[in-house]
Amino acid sequence: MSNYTQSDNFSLLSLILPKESVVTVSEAIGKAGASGIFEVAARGSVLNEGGFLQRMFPPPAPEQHLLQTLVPNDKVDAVTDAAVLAGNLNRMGAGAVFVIDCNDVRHTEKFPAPSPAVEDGNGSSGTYTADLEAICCICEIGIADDIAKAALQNGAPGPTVTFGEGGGVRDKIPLLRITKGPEKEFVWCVVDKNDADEIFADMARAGHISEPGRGFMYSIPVSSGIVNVSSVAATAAHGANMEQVIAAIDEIKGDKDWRATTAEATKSKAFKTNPLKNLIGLYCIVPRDNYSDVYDAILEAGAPGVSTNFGVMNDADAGDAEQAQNEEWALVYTSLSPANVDKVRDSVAKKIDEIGLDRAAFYTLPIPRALTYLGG
Amino acid sequence: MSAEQSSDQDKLRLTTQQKIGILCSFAKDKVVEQIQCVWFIILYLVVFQLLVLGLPIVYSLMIAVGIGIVIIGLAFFMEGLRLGLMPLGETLGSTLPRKKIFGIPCLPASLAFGFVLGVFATFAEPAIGVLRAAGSGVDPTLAPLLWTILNTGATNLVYSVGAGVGIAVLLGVLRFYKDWSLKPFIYVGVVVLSTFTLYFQFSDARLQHVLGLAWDCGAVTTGPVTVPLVLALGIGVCRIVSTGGSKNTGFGVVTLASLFPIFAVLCYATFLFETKDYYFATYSKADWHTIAIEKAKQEGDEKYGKNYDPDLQRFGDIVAKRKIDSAGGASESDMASSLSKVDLAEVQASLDDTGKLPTGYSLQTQIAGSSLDADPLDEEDNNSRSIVQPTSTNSIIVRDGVSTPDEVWDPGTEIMAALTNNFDFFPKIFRPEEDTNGNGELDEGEDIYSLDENGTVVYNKEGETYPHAVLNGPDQDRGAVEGALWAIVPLCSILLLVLVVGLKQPPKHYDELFIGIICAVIGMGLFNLGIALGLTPLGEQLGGNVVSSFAAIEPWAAEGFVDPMFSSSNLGKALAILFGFILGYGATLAEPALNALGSTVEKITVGAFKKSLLMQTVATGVAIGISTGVAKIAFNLDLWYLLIPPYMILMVITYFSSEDFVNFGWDSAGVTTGPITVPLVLAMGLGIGSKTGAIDGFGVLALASIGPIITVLIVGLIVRKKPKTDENEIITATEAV
Repeated sequence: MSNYTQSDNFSLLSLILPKESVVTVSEAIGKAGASGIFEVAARGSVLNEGGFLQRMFPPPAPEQHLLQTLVPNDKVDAVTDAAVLAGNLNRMGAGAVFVIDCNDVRHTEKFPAPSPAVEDGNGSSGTYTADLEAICCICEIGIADDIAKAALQNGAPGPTVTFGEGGGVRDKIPLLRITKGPEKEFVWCVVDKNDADEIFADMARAGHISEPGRGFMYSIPVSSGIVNVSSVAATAAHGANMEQVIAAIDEIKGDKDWRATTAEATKSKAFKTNPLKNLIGLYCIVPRDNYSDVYDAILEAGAPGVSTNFGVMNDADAGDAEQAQNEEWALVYTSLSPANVDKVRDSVAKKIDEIGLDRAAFYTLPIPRALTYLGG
Repeated sequence: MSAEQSSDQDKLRLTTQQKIGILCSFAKDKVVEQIQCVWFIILYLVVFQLLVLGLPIVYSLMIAVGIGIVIIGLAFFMEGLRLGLMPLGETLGSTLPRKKIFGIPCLPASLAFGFVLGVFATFAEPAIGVLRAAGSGVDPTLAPLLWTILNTGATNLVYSVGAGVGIAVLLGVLRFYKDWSLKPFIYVGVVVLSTFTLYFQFSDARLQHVLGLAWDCGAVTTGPVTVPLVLALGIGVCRIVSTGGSKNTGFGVVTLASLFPIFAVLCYATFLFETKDYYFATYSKADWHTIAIEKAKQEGDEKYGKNYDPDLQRFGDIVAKRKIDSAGGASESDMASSLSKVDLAEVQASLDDTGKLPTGYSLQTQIAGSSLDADPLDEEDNNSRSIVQPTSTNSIIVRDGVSTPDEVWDPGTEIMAALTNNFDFFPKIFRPEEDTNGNGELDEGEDIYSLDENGTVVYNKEGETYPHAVLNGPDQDRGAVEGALWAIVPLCSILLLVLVVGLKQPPKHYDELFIGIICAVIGMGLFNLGIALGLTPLGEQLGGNVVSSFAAIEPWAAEGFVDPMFSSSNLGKALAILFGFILGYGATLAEPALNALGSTVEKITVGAFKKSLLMQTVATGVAIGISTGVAKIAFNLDLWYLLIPPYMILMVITYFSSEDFVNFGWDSAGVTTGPITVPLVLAMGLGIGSKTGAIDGFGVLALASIGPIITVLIVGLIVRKKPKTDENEIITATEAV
């Protein structure tokens, strides 16, 4: 534990890109100073009109990748610029980049993160500052489409869905745990802060998140970013995709106020169960081979639930491979109350020491709002 | 999750009732899932036979029970795949490129492993056995080379197909390492195979007969165990070696594993042909036979198959003679209009008593002879209209209607034998004819392996006699459980061995793995049993009876005769083709290997391509393919011009398609014809073929494999048309607010 570098001057830079631009953009941000880029395969959203032919032959969704990397605060602007330039992120449908301030980052020496800022700097200088909120919903396989549809209908830009694994109570049941697989879907969307409440509520309703065993959702404040993801409208009526239509109307109207939902402003979209407030999300990045140890350690330390995303890191030490290979990493996440964060992190770090792993990183993010079944 | 953390460290204790509750709801979900796949084809088959053809279903209870067993077996099998086989394959695939086995560098080790996997998978699969069972109906007089390959050369057939699949998996793995596209392989493969096919078609009639078998071998090899394993292996490898925007995701090996066996069988046939090591059709009177003898005489031999083992030649002669003898029997129309002794007595008694025919018999008029009399109405004018009458007629008494067996269960089935095959685990591939009078001993005339100089039949080679040999010779067919064990256990053992001992990467949860393997074995055993009890009889009935749409037949297991449904034979054949279309669609949706492929595609593309898209597209393609196959048999068309032009069109479409759809599409072709489609289709092919004089029922499966490639690639071309983002508009970001 003593060889962990700790800093609170980092931000988590995330990118949502269509499959074609991943290579160019990751090279560009690598040159701009980012390293340790974690890549997860994902898909975008399709607005399915639901006719018979479309139900028999559902149109494919756009293939995307979600990239995440820890960037020191003084380099955030440069990296964001490089990403926007390389990926043409100013253009509709090209993707998204958003930056989240981290509370606390610790990583081992050998973990490929750029060196932290020497002096305390602020985050981005304001070019991309926006009032955004990132909503993430973890649910069973098959439900993600309903949740994404609910978000889309409330005006969220196309949600991105990734696969991963999750567990908690399930892992404590001997043998019978085979009756339910660990696979989960993660629905990500980055929305305007003004719309966030309603979108959160509707997504929760669509996925029945407040019922037992349905999943978990949370939102994280985003300090800056551009969100131009594409979603495909699968009808014959549209010649353009949804974003082009919305952008055109924006331009005609002159502002975005027309997007606000209609007359019944008094009808509250809030729901009966109260969300959890002010949690901390603890994230741990380790090589995939060792993720099960970390997973077990987190559960043993008392966390009620853990989820994992698997991806690759192309610029980590690849060892003595004969040819370029993907190195698989895992991002293990759990949300905790602020009092327990240190305890869990310490016990995981101890476990990492025990297994002799020399490449790992932890970071924590603020979670102002979360929702799940709260027990009865 | 509550705001206060619960630090429950112990394993959760569940009451027995809770455990049973969890298990029951889980089992119910899985079974319902399988019912959703299977209901369409079963309902269709039942409705077609009952309503369209108007024939009762024989042994209905046995078939119903068999189908129920199939559903349960499928549920177990898919669960076993999910828990055990596919994670094993994927872990292996993702570890092979990273760790060395005993110091051997990763690439050669992976290639060698791929080869071994391919070879073993072929031996494990029962599919070749199915083809050989169909091939036992081949007449050696009509197709000597084909008969040789299927009967006496069967061991070598399996070896050559195994080698083909092994090389295919090896090349598949190499393709991932080197990041090659699948398209060049397809172009080269299709061109080589087409040239070979055309050569076979036009060079010699003996070679021509082998074409159907060769193409069907390719369609049939990759079965429900090989496909998920090979897919999982490919996906695992690609996770590691596909870097930097490479398009490979792990598919494409199944395609190669379907193309190479065709080439291997064609090579094997050429080898036999050139070395003159095949049966000489002693009783043939065909043109090609005479021409071939001429050609052989020019080379100084008196017959063309001169290097064939003389014992086997005698065997072939005896089989041929048996077929000719049995073919000279009474024709079906004679049998339909004849009365047995018992019937005759009954009719006689009734006529004596009441002067009338008993119920169930009627008087019909039969035209005797073939001449007609025409009497002109106007006797002076020969061109006036005339009354036409047959010269002479007979009045005959015939039985009405068709009587089918009353039982609901086939008295001949032995479930235990079907399940276990009497625990005979090492079947010989070729064995002599057996105990026909069932007394357990080889009487004279029963075994036909060889004849000695006195003309006595002896069991073994010349010079040895075993007059009281007790027949306990092993069987070609495997029992259900035995087949399942053979298919799964050796493969899994090799995988585990390489993983644990060679790569030193043990799986995380051994208990899940073993439960998975056991579920897969149980599932496959039940599945095989259910198919033997339920689907095969149903398919045989339907396959045989569907011919009644265009020809007069005696329905399956019935006595009596039905007339064709339509007077125009072409209309009837059109109905048979429509039947084949819907059969192909329904049977494909039920195939376990296709289900596994669809789930894998959905997982790899993170849900971008839904499983139902692939399944519906492939099912439609197979439907088109099978209806074409039925047309081929019904109208007795040649295989090559139904096969080669579509492949040429496919090459053009492949050129324009994106890489991922090319991978999915060609793979789905290798995956389709599986344990549910094959019995149904083969039975139908044989039934129709016997009525239209086709030599064999082969070729339908090969055609059924082309259809899905075409439909998937076309769907790929349609969905790839993205709306264009306007290059000139740059809309600035949220700072406008």
